[in-house]
Amino acid sequence: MARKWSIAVASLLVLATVTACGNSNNSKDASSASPGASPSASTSASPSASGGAGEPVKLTIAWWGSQARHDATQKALEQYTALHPNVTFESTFSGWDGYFDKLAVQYSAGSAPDIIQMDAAYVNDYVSRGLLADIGSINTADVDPSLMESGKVNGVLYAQPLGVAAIGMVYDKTVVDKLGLKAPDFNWTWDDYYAFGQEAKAKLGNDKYVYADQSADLVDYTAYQYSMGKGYIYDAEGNLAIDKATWIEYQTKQKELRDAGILTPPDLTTTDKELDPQLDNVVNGNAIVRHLFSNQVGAIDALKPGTYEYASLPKGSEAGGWLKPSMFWSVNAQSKHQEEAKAFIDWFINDLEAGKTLGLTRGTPVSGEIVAALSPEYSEGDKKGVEFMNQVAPDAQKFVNDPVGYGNFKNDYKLIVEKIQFGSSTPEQAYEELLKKAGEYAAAAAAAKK
Amino acid sequence: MQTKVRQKRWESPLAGYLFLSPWLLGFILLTLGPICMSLYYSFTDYSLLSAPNWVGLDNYRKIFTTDDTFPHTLKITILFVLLTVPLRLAFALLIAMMLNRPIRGIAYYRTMVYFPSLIGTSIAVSILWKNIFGRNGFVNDVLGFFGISGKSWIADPKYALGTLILMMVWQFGSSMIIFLAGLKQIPRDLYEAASVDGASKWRQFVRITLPMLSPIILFNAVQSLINSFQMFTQAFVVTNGGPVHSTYVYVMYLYQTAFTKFQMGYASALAWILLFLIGAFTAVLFATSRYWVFYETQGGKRG
Repeated sequence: MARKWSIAVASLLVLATVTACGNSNNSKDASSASPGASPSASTSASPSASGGAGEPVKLTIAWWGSQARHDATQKALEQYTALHPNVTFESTFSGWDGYFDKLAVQYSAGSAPDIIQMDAAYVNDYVSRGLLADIGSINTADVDPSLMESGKVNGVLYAQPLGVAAIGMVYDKTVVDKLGLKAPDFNWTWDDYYAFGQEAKAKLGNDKYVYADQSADLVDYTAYQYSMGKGYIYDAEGNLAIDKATWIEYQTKQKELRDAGILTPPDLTTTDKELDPQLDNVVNGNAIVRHLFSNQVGAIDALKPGTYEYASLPKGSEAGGWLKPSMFWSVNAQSKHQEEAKAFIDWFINDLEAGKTLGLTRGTPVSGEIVAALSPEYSEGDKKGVEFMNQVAPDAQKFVNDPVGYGNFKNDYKLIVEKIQFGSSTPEQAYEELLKKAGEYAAAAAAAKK
Repeated sequence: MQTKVRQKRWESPLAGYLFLSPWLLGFILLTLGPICMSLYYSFTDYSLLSAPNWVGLDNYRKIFTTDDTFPHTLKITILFVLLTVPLRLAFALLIAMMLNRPIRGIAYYRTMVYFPSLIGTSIAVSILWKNIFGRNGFVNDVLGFFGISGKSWIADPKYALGTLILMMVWQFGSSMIIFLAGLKQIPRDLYEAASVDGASKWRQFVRITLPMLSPIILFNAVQSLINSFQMFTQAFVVTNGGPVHSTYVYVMYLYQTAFTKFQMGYASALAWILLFLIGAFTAVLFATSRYWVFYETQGGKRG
């Protein structure tokens, strides 16, 4: 018996270790606080924007993103340390996968970073748990007030928008030209979308596909429901408001396209990884069109320069696309250095030099002044990204942060639609399953509000 | 008289505990503490981000009544275990037998065969595996050479679990080493006597090798059983539980519940259920052992 127990105990220990490993393996830790500025060098008091001038402060900061963003941000941190020698940084950056898993664990251990890059999907969740600090004192005079709304909960600013991005589509221009097709543009409709699919497929042959299948991404359906004039997928009270007929119609159409070989088959879809040189189905040449946010233009262009052009999401009775804050800076409510953190964010969004260093790595900057100063220096890729955004902007739909408790809904949504993709469920069955899942989320959200 | 003996045995408990203290501290802080915490959390709605509230048996009730994922993930895990353990043991034994022969450079071969196990569960191997078994991976290239068009081994719900099982079986090294040691323990004269009596190789294997090795088979079976129940890295890295949850093993579910959905209390309850599950499977294995495990020290009787 004793042996059995020791095995059981040992197994739990192994379990714990395994879980811990799983959490850390996804993030590429790379702390490289600017080497030049050690705390000892900061004894000379400098005019710091923060209250504690001269006091050596080490701010921890975390973000997700591509290599270009990492490089630019590191450089900006060094610039800030040069201006304020008492402030040094310890940065952690990673890809999107696992970023929020890790953040939750850090919060529970009381070791979350002082400054956190936040996503619209999680702002409400984190604020409802009291984890983010009020950062209303940041100077945002130069930022579009309607954009600032997206970082506020009940009128209090918890998350500072860092950039604006539009959702649209990217297509491989070289292939479209070679096949002699009429390229998608910023005014194309769902009819054009279906027609383009048919035509392109006929010319592409068997083992190439037209669209990367993104029907399991909640973003795509959100755009479809908007374009059909049925409004946003959540209602004003924060309940799921997916229109049954519209959803089934959308998934049925997508299924037809999949069966016709216009969408990528499920085994390619499931291994698709956005902007991964080998796994992104558009980058690796399996398909020619997919959705993309305008702040990703630089990243995809860097993979194959000059290959890609951009279009809007297809239109129905209305436009499908929207503008959203690409991401936010938030300050940890548990942080001891909130003033310094806020001063840094203030500099980050308002300072011209910072703006030049960062470029469009977080979408189009929020400060009008910086955009005006930057635009003459835009690279070809930047220009395309800005053009992309300006094309979507005029009839953009309203963007709303995910309601409390729904930050994770898109993952369950994906699983349900994957069943349709693999043929183990029909759109009708999937809709029932979706309703059931939504019920669970609503119950959990209601419990959280109590 | 008896009290005197007892006193003698407990003469200097302090020194003993002092010597034990490095282990003891580690055990209390890193094992016992977390175990107690997780037991407590399993009765709460702890969410990682806010303080726990006592909810009694709610988590357990939900798991057994309303949770759809639980039976699904349990089914996959048990299927995985039942296929992995025997295959892995058989494979390990086969390799051990091959490496137990007196040929030149055997030490080199042993090292090479054991090598995969050294790097076994690491992330790097999982990533490599993912590429090898991808749609355009090495495996399909080789198959293509023979004119067979390969499947998408990790992206098709029909094959993904099988691919992971193969990966676990491939990491047979530690079982193999233990088998090898066991094989060396078997007295050679048994085989000599058998061959004098005209027993075939197969008969020798069934009548001598297997019975003499049975305690080691039991040990390896228990080890593999526990290992496979707790398989995580491979499912997390290679398939991320997909496609369509076809490789969504128990620990994967547990991990996502705890760290993606922030339901630490619920996940703790899941962990305790897994503990009892592993305990139950191990107990069954031990219970059957008296019918097939022989201990030489007990005069060749079944244990």
